[in-house]
Amino acid sequence: MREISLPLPWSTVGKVSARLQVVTRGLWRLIKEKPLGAFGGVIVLGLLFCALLAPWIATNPYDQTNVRNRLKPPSSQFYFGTDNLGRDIFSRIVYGARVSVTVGFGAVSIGISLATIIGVGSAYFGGKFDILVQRLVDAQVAIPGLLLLLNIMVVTGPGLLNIILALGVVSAAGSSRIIRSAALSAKENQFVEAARAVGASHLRIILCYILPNIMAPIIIITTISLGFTILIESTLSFLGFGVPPPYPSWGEMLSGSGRSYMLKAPWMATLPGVAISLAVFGFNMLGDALRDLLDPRLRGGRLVRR
Amino acid sequence: MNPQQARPQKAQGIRRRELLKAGLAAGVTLSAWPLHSPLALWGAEAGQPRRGGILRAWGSDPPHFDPHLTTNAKTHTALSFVYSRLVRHKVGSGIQPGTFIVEPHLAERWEALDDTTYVFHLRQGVKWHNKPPVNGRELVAEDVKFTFERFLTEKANPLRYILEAVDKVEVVDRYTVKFLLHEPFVWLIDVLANPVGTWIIPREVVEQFSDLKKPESAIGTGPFLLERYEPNVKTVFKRNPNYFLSGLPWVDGVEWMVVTDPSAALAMYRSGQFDCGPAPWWSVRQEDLESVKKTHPHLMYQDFLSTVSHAIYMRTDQAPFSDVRVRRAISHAVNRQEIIEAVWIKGEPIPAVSRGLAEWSPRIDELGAGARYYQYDPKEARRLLAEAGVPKGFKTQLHTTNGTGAGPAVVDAAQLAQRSLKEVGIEAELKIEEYGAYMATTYLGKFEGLALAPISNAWDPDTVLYGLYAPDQPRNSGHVNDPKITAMLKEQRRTQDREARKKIIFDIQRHIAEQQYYVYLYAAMFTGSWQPYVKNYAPNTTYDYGGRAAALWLDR
Repeated sequence: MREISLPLPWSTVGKVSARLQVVTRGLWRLIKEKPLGAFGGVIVLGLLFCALLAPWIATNPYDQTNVRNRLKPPSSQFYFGTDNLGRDIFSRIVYGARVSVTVGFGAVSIGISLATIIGVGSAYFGGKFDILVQRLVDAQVAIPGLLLLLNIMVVTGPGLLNIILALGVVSAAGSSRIIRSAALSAKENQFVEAARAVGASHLRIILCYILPNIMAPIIIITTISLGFTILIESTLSFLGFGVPPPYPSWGEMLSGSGRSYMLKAPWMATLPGVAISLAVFGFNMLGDALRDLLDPRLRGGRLVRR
Repeated sequence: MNPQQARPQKAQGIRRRELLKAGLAAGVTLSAWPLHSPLALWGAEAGQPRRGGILRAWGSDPPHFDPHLTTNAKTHTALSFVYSRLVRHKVGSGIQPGTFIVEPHLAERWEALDDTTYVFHLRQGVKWHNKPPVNGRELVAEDVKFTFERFLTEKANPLRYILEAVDKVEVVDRYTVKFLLHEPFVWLIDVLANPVGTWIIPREVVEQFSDLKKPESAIGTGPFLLERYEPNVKTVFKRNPNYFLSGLPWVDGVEWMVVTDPSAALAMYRSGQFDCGPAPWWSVRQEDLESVKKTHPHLMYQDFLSTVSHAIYMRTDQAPFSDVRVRRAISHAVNRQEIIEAVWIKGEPIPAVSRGLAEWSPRIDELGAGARYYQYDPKEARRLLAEAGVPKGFKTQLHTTNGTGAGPAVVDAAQLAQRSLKEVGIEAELKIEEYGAYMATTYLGKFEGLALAPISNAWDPDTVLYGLYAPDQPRNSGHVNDPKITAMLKEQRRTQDREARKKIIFDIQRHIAEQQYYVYLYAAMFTGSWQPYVKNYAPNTTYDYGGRAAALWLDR
């Protein structure tokens, strides 16, 4: 179990195959030690697959209406049934994955980048700068996230890009806290001092000495916030601030007519709901497993308990 | 014993005393008011009226309470409980939905001295609500003059256009007012009866509050007093003991409740927490109707065609919509029957005036040459687009709103229309606007491209035709400027003879159908519903929920 943290024989084996070995070994550990996490990973892969290959997986165009086929229950022709306008729900859920994935990854990459800049900058430079930045972060964290988001969405209007930007900016402050604390301990290492002693620039120290040492928390925050972001996107779409119809978004499918026809055609609301739950579950389980695997302290803890 | 069984027993104890009171009230009213009184009819049909009980009904949350500062139906429906107008539409169980019979209200009679002078004789002894600053003083001619002066001079009044023919209002004596018009306007009485902005308001309140936006400033002569307003929860109205129609209202109060989720509202109606249907016009939505009828067959149901016209409107002053062939192509491209079936379940294609107002609305096959554009024919649409020089179609926007109270229906309809337009090459990006924003922009013609929404509610044909087609009107959302229509509109406004006027109104609609300035879609069928113990009630499509609530009684 511990050999993974031992220095790798970089000189003897080719770099690529060594990395491959690490990845395979990591994957194997994931499956062996965290089967639930691996299951989450499979869901996430499925989601990415749907989003990338939506036009080939979907059996119908997402906006193909056909009143004669309205409110049909799930069947071999329409796997998940049809909605009140006669659109194929399976195809709409598959296309809906695109919105979730785009918003998820888009917002999280913006959010994490911002959070890293704020967190590492604040921790590294410290002093008055740190105090000032942290008070600003305090101010933003103090406002309930959804409230802030709704206000931004009212001002900017609905739309994919607007959601991504709003979600990214709003989520940055919270994550920056975690990254700052990791960076605070990383910068106390002697190799940082050594780098400073040989005259490395601030940028070089941050990029080459601090960042690589805080990658674990960053990866973990990323996976966890992916699930969270997908959930928030659905919330916003449910409230009517999401991607404008007819483009399907899971949250919007749940809210609009899905709710009106809840009793008559339960598949209209429940299946997009299941999709949301599965996606969030998948990302959370994967994130959880990654945290356990990547965080050496947690690993140590378990050994002690044994 | 469960509470539902317990209730009638308790009621029986009260019944005798209530019956005597009601009988007395009815007797007094009948003797004092023999001919106009619909009470005689009600008595025969629904048994003796009974006092008491609180009416719990589906309502909406008004943005504010000033009748002269908004066209928002949510304000005017709430005000219908508090205020009265000079004349009104008859209410009660004998009224066929879609008919708007004008009857005296604050004015007990009126006469036209000539084409441009109308005299109204006010009912004497009408008291304002007993609330400061009016403290229940008598309503006089001065109040009517003040009301219409504010109506006509308030710059922010979006409804000013409905009475733009009025030059001034003069006080003749304490109980007589005279309306002087710029030009003949035969619809004056009908417009004054429309429950939108025509409520009589007291001067003192406007002076004290500077406007009437606050709930405390809603002080009128109507059947109910506004007791409490809880934003986004409910407005509570209390019976006005000094209401000038003696005996009315029968109920002790009304809870005008805001339940925005249609499923939650339906559940409340099913479980008896609402006395009347849980959707606009106190109806049950068509998609729920089948299951509600199955589980609750004892409820009362009445179908009626809405007087609201749904339409696709567009910037007819801009290319490509300035070309009649493009507008006709849009009309051919949209499958009206498909939208009716998928979204509204039941309904009917309409000309400019909704078929719900049957007297003034020709059938589609009576539209002459314009009738053919009501055919769903994408091939012909593409041919017309090619002829207009846009064979490949074009990109545009389709504005709509999600806040009309009909749940997601309007947005669903817009999605179907958008898809049909795509089939003929018109790529319209859907722009969904919040109701308030929509009313302030697109509805007033501030938009680009296309829009789809309910655009008019016809209680008389003039308001919806003149408002939407005369070039200087704020309601002319489509920027229509057709001298032929304008001339005909002016002509019917001075035509006293009803049959001759009807002919002009029909001709206008034939011309409109040919030109397709607004691509009229359909009127939806509604099913009004109420608990069997709600007596002397019939649904209708005006905002006068207050008048209907005052006339009904609860026979629990």
